Formats: sequence, structure tokens, C-alpha cells
Amino acid sequence: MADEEDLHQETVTPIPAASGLPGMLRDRYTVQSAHPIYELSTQYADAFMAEDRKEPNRRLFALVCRQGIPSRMSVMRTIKGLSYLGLMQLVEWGPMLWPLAGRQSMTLIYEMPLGKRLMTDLRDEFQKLQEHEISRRVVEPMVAVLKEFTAKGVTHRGIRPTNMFFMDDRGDRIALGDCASSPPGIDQPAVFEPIPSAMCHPLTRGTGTETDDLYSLGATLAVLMIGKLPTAHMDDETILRNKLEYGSYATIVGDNRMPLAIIELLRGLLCDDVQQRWTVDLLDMWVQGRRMTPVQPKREKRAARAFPFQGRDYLTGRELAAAFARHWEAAVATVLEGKLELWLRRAVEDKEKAEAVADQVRMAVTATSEKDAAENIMLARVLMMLDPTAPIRYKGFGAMPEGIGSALAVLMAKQADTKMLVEMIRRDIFKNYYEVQGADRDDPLVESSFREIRNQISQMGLGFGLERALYELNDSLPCQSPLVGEAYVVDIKELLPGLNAYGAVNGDAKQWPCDRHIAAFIGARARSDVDRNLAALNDSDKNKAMMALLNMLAVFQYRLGPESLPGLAGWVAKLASTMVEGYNSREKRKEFEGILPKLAKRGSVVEIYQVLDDPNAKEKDSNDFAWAQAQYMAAEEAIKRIESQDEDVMSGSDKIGKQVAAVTGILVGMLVITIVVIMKVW
Amino acid sequence: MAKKPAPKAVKKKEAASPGNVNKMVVIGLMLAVVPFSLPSCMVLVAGMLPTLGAYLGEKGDDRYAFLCVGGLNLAALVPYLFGMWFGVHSIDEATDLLTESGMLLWSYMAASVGWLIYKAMPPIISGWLAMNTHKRINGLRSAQKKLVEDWGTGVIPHGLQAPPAKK
Repeated sequence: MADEEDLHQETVTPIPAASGLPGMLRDRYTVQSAHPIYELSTQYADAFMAEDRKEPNRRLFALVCRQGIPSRMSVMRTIKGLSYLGLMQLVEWGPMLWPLAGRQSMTLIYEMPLGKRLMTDLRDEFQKLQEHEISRRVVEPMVAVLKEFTAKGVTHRGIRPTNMFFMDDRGDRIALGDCASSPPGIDQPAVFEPIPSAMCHPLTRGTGTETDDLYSLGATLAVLMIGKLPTAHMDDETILRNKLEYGSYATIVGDNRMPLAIIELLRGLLCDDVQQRWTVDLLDMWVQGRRMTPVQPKREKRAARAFPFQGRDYLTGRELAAAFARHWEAAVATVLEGKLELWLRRAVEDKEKAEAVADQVRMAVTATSEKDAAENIMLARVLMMLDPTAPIRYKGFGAMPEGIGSALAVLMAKQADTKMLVEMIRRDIFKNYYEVQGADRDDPLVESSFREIRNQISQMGLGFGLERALYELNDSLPCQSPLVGEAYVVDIKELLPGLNAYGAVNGDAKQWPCDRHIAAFIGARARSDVDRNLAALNDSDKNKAMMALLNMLAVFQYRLGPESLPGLAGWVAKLASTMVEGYNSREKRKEFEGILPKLAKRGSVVEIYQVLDDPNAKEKDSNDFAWAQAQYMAAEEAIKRIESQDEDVMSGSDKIGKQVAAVTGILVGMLVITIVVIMKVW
Repeated sequence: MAKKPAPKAVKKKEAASPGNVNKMVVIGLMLAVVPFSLPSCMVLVAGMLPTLGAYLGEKGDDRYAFLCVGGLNLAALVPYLFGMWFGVHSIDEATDLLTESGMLLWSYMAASVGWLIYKAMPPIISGWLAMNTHKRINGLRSAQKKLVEDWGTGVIPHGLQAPPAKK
């Protein structure tokens, strides 16, 4: 679990030393890096003073997200500009070149609260709100906000007293704070989360639904009515156990007395049965004055006989499952012994469930390989059967499938151990989760995407592995590669300009414009099927791998632009020159050396690719080279032959000379005789 | 063991070898001609003495000097012989020719030229052949160099050296 101290208190890790240089968002908002605001910072975003250049009197602050933490861009898009009493207004958002990080960081500009947080520490006590106040100052504004959120299909997932602010001097207006700078529910203490979400690791809670927000609102209202958090002294595990045993209302409200109307409100909002929990419309009706019967949640069927486990007795499958999840190793042994099956059959009288558990145990026992893994999977499946509303629990790690992506991103950003998440994906736990959930919660899209990710994660080459899962599971996560320089690359069309800017300064023939992050980013974000090219990137023939990369870059430039990328083209041309050296023909090399700088200057990766992409040229070069070698060898042999013949010829040249002289003498004699005869006869 | 009989047939063959037969025929013909053409013979014998010297002076199988010397020697004598044959063919005339220095001078000078040709020809031929060989080798080396220029030193098969640069 996350550090409890962090969740109790809105403490933040120290902000890096201020450089003094301001950041500028959309040429309008200046973010003062020299003026941090520690009290407004969150675990994953640092707060700084901000100014609007068009309206200098407007009081604003900026939240600058930490590198590698996926922010909720869809939420930012939705809530930007929304002006509600109950919501701290998000004025602007976007990536901004941030001097303290040396690259672009996601930045959110919010209206500055004039007052403090409602609670800075969950252990604080404060002046509790009265019944009439709570409706006017908190519930009404929150209902308006949540109605808007529900209508737009987004969730807040950060409703808690420590994320609520007095927006004015007098403390009249109470508004919800930031919900978009970090993954959903990541900062929420377990007490403000419904049971399934509280069972999760804070990183893996997922987006959730409006009912989760309403639950958090209910818990927050209870705290505001009491003037303190009654469970502040408890750890998350105890809170969860109490919620399971006594219900959320009893756990959070405890012995504190509440007005009847508030009891109705809190029972409706804190109902542990999602089906019975109040919706925004019911809450709105309550605000309008319509009173309803307090919700009495249906309790799970209790067993006739308790199941003893680790020194405690459990009467429901849900409580027992939670205990099993806490004591994983002991639970594996207990279930394998068949005690659970027997208890389900005899004490709970649920033969169907008992059969299902027996099947799982049988499969684990008969597994021929990876016995440990089979037993762990068995227990994970059994826990899903015992408590279908719970998240996936594997070796004590609880996770909602839709929360895996953000968890992976945070762990990778912190360079923490991702082994557990990878194991869960590899073991196909998610498939079992959706099978157990049944048609109601089955999400074929998520299920199939996990299947694909499982395949991708098992491949270790460029474009696959953990990095691929990271981008597949986090749509709004920018590319983490240092090769995109200071650019904030979320969309594939932003990749080439990022590489271009980096290449213009640092483009080096030894470094490819592609690393594990870029390849995985392309694989996850390219709309076309690039897996074949990605596989080729890992070819042992460097030229083939290079051509595959060039092909992808050229296709992206052709389809998405921009037309001129001189930095990237220059970088690619340098790399291509090493490829050109692979040609044997010096003439061909000279031809390339002449043309590549011109194309690089023009900024056309497409044309560079076209020039290099001649599958027959390489073959022709090889053939011609072999022919040239044969020619050379033939000449060498001819020389040797002539030289050896020459010795013979030279040794016989004396005789030849004499013969020639003899013939000459004879010819001269015959010539003279002929002339004399002719002269005498005629 | 009976003693092997001497190979009579072989002895007969040696006695009648074609070279010897030719020689005897030539000598016989020459001797037969002498009674009918004594003046010509006198001129020829005296004038062709350098040729006879060349023939006798050379040893071994490759005796070509008498042909070269003889050709030119004879060429110098032929006008005088024709002069006799178409003029006065007598021993006096022959004696006159032999006593006048002109004929012998010409014939011996021609023989000397023959000798010069004979001595000069072998080095000339040898030089010409050497030049021809170098020309062919240079042509092949140039072709190799062109291949190296076009394809780089990789074109040279393993174990061979690059062609020497032109001086």
C-alpha cells in the first residue's frame, strides 16, 4: 500500500531548486518557477504562482505534473473552463516548457483559492458544519459539479476534505480541488473509497464510476458533519476490515450522532451495495427537499458456521476473501486442503460455488509445470468467486484492470519494481476476472486488449515488452524517450517534430532516432499496423532494421507531416551514410554522398527512404562486386602466366634472333639475285 | 648364354642418315659442276670464303650464321657471276675478277654486314619481346587498378596484394 503518511496529509516531496526562469503556457500564462506554493502542491504535481498576461489581476496558480506520471487529459478537456461554485476552475492546461525539468511538462492553471484546504491533515479536528450549512455550502455545489461530470462521462475520484478548498476570504465557498494532474484515486485514503476500490493498491484504482465519487462525497460529508475523521487513528487494513464487517456507514460515522436527514443522505451515499447507492439524481432530489427512507443494504448470506482462519472467524465469503488476500501463503495451503470447499458446501450451502472452488483446486493440483504459479492463479480465481465485486487480488496485490496502466506508469517513473504487474498480465488473471464478473461487467475491449498486451509483453525486442504495455495502457502518457528532447509527445503526429528538434542539435550517426520507448510508443499509437516493421527493427541485419525504421518515419512524415524536418532528415542521412558504406561500389557511394545531404537539407525523410529503398540495388551491387573480384583474379592469373611464359620466351629469344637474322640474310640474297636477273634479262 | 649379335641394321641406318646423304649429294653435285663451270667455281670459292668460315666457325645445333652471312655474301657476288655468265665465262676472266680488289671487297663487305645483322638481331628481338610482355602486364595491372578504384581494396581476393601505384 502507498505510504499512509502521504495519504493522511497533503504533504509533498520537495520541489527542485528554483531556477528563476518562468514557464510560459500558450503564450499567455506565466508560471513562476521561483515562487512555489507548497500548500497547494500534491503528491504528483508541484504548485507555482501563475499570471495571466491578459488579465494580470486574476489570481491563479499552476500545477506542474511530475515526469512520467500519466495525467488525465480527457478530464482536462472536459472540465476546462467549467465554472461551478463547487469546483476549483481549471482555466487552462497543456504541455509547457518547464525550466526546472528541462523539458515540457503537463501544466494545469487553476484559479487560486483565497482560503486554505478544509483539512490539511486527516488527523486534524475543526469546527464541524451544521445541517443547514452542509446542504447549502457543500452538497448543493457538489451536486451541480457531479451532475456535470456525470453528463460528460468523467469522474472526479479525488473527493476528500484534504482536496477541498475555501475559495473566498470568508470561507463561504467550498470547492473541489484538482482531479486531473494524476491518475484517478491515487491520492485517496482508503476511508474515502468504496470497499472494492479501497481493496486496491492506490495506484490501480482505475477511473471508476459516478457511484465512487458519490461514496467519496458521502465519506467527506460525514467528516464535515463530525468535525474530524473518526477513523484517523486506524490503518487502512483495519478500516477495510471494519467496512466489510460493519458496513461503511458504521465504520465512518461510528457512534457520532447525526440529524435524521443527514443519516438518510449518508446511508444513501455510503451504501456498500453499488446497486442501492444513491445516484446524482437521487442526491439532487434530496437537495430539493424530497426525503427518502434510509437505505438498508442487503447483507451477504452468513454461514451457519464460521470459517476459522489465522486466529479469526469469518462468516461471509467476502470477509474471508479479504482475509485470504491478506495472508496469501496461508490461504493457498488452506484452500488446497479442501477446507474452503467443505465450508461452502456445508456451512454456506452454496454447492455451485463449492464445485467451482473444487475445480480450481483440482486444476492447481494436477498442474504439471509451474506448480507455484498454478496455485497462485487458483487462489486469485477463488477470491474472485468468493467476492465478485472485489478487484483482482494476486499475492496480496489488489488491482482494478483499468488501473493497471497508471500503476505501471507510476512504478516505471519511480523506477520501482513492476514484477507483480507483469506477472498478473502474463498469467492472464484479467481474463479470469471478466469471466467471473459475468456479462454485467464484462468488457470485451479491455479483455482483448489485455490479451494483446500479454503477447506483446512476452516479446523482448524493440517495440514490445513492458514499454509497449505502458503506452498501450496509458493513452495520455507522453513518450518517455530522451530522444524527443524537451517535447511533450502524446500523439503520434508530435513524434517527428520532437525527434526533429532533438536531431537538429544532437543527431549522431551512432544513435538511432529510436529507442525502446519510441518503438513502443509507435506500436501503441500508430493507427496502422506497424508490428511487422517493429519486428524488423530487431533484425540482426542492421541495414534491414534501419530500413524498417526509415519506412515508419517516412510513412509518418508522408501521412502526418510536417513536410520539412531538416533536423531529423539530417540525422537520418548521417545514419544512412553508414548504411551506404555497406555498398561495395564506390560510384554508388559517391552518388549517395552527393544526394543525401541535399535531401537532408530539404528535410525529406520520405525522399531519403525512397532513394535508399531499392531492393535490387544491393543485390546488383553484390553481384557486380563478385564479378569485379573474378575479373581481378583473372587478371592476376594472366599476369602470372605471362611472367612465367616470359622467362621461356627470353631464354629462346637468342635462337629466334639468329633465325630472324638468317631469314633476313637469305631474303636479301634472293632479292639481289632477282634484281640482277631482271636487269640482265630485260 | 649365346652372345647377342651386333645390331647391323642400326649401323646401316647411321651410315645413311638424311643429313649425311644431303651433304654427299650437294658435294657430289658441286664436284660434278666443277669441270663445266670452273671459272664460276673459282669466283664462288674465293668470294664465299666468309660464308665457309661462318659455317665452320659455329658449333652446336643452332647454326644460322652461314645463312645470314651467306645470303648477303652471295648477293654481293651474284652481279659478278651474272657478268661472267652473260659475258666472258673463262678462267682468265675469273682470275681477273679475283685479282681485282672490287669483287672480293664487295663480297667480303656484304659478308661483314651479314655478320653484323647476325650479331645484332638476337638482342633486338629479345628487347622487343620483353617490351611486348611488359606492355601486356601493364595493361592487366591498369585494369586491376581500375577495379580497385571502382570497388575498393575489398575487390582484391584474400591473400593477394594491391597493384603497385603508378610511379
